[in-house]
Amino acid sequence: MKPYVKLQRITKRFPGVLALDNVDFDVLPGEIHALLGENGAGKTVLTNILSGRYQLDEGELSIKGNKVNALKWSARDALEQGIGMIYQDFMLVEEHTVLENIALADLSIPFFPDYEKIYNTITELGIKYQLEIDPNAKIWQLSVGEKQRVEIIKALMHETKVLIMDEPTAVLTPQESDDLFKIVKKLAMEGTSIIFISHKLPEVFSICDRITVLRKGKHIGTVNVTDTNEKELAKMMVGREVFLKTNKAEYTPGPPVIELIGISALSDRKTPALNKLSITVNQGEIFGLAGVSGNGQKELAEVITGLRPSTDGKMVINGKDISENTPRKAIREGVGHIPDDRIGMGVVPDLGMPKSMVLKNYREERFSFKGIFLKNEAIINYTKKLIEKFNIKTSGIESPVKLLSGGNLQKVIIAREISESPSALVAVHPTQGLDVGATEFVRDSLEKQRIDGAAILLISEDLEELLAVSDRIGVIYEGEIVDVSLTKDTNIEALGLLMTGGKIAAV
Amino acid sequence: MLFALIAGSFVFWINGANPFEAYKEMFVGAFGDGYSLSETLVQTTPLLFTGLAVSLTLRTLLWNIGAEGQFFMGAMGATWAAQAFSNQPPWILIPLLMLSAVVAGALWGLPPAILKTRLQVNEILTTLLLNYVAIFYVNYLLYGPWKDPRYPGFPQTPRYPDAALLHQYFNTRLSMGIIIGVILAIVLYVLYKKTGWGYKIQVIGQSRKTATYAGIRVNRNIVRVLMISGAIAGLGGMLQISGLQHKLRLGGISNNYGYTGIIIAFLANGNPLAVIFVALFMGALLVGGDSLQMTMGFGKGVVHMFEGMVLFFVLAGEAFKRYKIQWIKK
Repeated sequence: MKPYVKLQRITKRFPGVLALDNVDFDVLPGEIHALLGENGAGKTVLTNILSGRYQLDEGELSIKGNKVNALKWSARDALEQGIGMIYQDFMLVEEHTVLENIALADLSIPFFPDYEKIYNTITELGIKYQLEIDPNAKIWQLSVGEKQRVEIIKALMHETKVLIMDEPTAVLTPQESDDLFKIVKKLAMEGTSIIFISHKLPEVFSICDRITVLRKGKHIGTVNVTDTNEKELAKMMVGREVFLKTNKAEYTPGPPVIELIGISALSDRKTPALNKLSITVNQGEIFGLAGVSGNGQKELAEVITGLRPSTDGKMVINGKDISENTPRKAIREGVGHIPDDRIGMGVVPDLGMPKSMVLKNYREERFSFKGIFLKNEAIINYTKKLIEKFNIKTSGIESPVKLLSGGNLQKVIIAREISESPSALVAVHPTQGLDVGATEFVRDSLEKQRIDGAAILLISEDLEELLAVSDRIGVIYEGEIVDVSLTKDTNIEALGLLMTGGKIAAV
Repeated sequence: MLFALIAGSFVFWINGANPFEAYKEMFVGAFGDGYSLSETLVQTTPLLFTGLAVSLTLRTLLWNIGAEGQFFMGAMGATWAAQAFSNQPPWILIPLLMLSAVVAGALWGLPPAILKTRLQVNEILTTLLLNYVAIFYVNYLLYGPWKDPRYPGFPQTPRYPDAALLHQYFNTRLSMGIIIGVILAIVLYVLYKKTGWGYKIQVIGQSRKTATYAGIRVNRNIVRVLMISGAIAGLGGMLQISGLQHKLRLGGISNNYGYTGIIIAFLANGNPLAVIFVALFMGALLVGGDSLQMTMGFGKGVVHMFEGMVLFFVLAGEAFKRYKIQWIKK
């Protein structure tokens, strides 16, 4: 069969990053083709090139065997060739009705859209594909699954030949996912090709025909579903590279510091994010938490640091029940937090370094008289001391911290969080986006804290990092801890399988 | 600024006057002699308070459009106290008036604060709408229960008891209000720069997320800030009556001081010391404009047009200050 779309030797660069490196990819008519890979592997970039949102730097593109000008491939070209994409965050106007949103999909939006015709088409498609939806409902009234249906209908209005779905099940309940799979299969049967981006191996196996695996922008392989198994795919996804073990002191855990018992919490969308989760982090250990993003890591970190209320369960820190947690209580109990969002949460972006350094302890006697008048001089001296100790490179102590490089910014946050000798430390993606030197610095800092007896929860998607620095590794999947094992008793394939919802028995 | 003056000249010119004459008249009218200087300061006083009130909320990235209403409520609160405790000596009565005005102003800042923190209702709308409530309520009082029975035709209260009036210095209309305002500006400056509270407010204004992360109780501080802001505007309202008008009467309370305060706070970039000077500039503009009406025979409309023009260009200039003009060769 001739591929409908064929991409050859695709290369795409972003400033400082090689997002795609000489990647080949093709889609046959009527197939469901899964695109697998870790975060940052290049899946989204690849599909965005296909849908014309990004322009490629090098490579060739052919549609139905005809070469097109790949460097000038635009979103409009893509639509005209029947390539549609459903983004993870839906592109819908919340205040408008389903009908109005779908009318927008018409490229030539007439001044007076023919609503009646569109209404009828929606009903027809609804019956044909079991995409039941009330065309007059407002988007904000719909559930996530229903919004997705609207996006699918929008795509079908263009006579889509290739439908790209970026992690469509990430936001769906299992029931909604099943419904979606039925629709997808029916579309494929009628000749539409589906590109299906996912992290979850079981669903890939249940619906897809072929699988392409990307890793760090490289094409690792394309295989038929029937010729492979979950274990092999997990290995392809996470790779099997040699990595440096940091020099670790012996593992001699102390008493528990962070104890969560049956904790539940809601996500920002008010859907369940943590599901009766229990976890214990002991003194003097680094507990690594592995998982594909969106499985509750963010919410877990926020519950422990008091930023997000838990709806159920019990939390004990240093033997003290703080189930009703607030950021203040967490700070008082000595819970340090290295947040994911460095600029937005970790520092005061437009102010100088001193104001970020004493963010949490400015009330103390050494920085203020009776907590009222700040001792500005003491604060500046303290900042200077930390700059020297952590070797932070800055153009000036009072220049806005947002101008610092990523590594130096992270040093500011780490300097603040560990200078107070925390009893517990929650580090979320602490090395993400940092270069090798800064990464090493961050890992060393965590290790030092561990030796000093802190309980460290390290949340990361980088399995190699987790294996290199953690004492124990837990896996979070759909808001639950599905496995905890000693680092020496686990390996990258097992973790890769567990975090994509596979069962350990399959290893 | 220059553009503002040029545009202003144009306004004068199409009205058949020599712009240079007009500017000279304005300057003389605002600063020319002891009397005009005192009048400028009289106009500056309420602007100082509303400007400071708005500048405080600006530091937390909130917009208090309600200084006008809080100013009215302060004036009303003071008037209530003046009537209720009319036989007290000045050293009790004046502080009572201030207290009453501060409380009234702060309470007027409370509903928007609660709506903002509990239900995320935009404070710009709520503070603005409460202005109308305040103004119409005062109207009601003046036409109804508080009307001076001796002058039934006029919507105004009886004159305050003497003990409730502030002394006016040097035979002018200037009272101690301006001094209180300047002191307040300095106090706020010290609060911002030197205290943990000022630091907290600054972090909240910079990034709510960072503030929450640092264990700062953001909502509680937002409520506080809006109430203190209301209190400052309210105090301005009290001083306006006690120090100048001597009775609550329609039209005499506020010359859009609350709204001008927004512009002042914006131009001063939230810096309370800068508020003093910007308020002075605005006060001079008002007085100078008045004197134009008298000396050059311009209509009121022309003067307002000029004032509006100046403000427009000053504000536009603020925006342009952030960019550099560059000529690109084709």
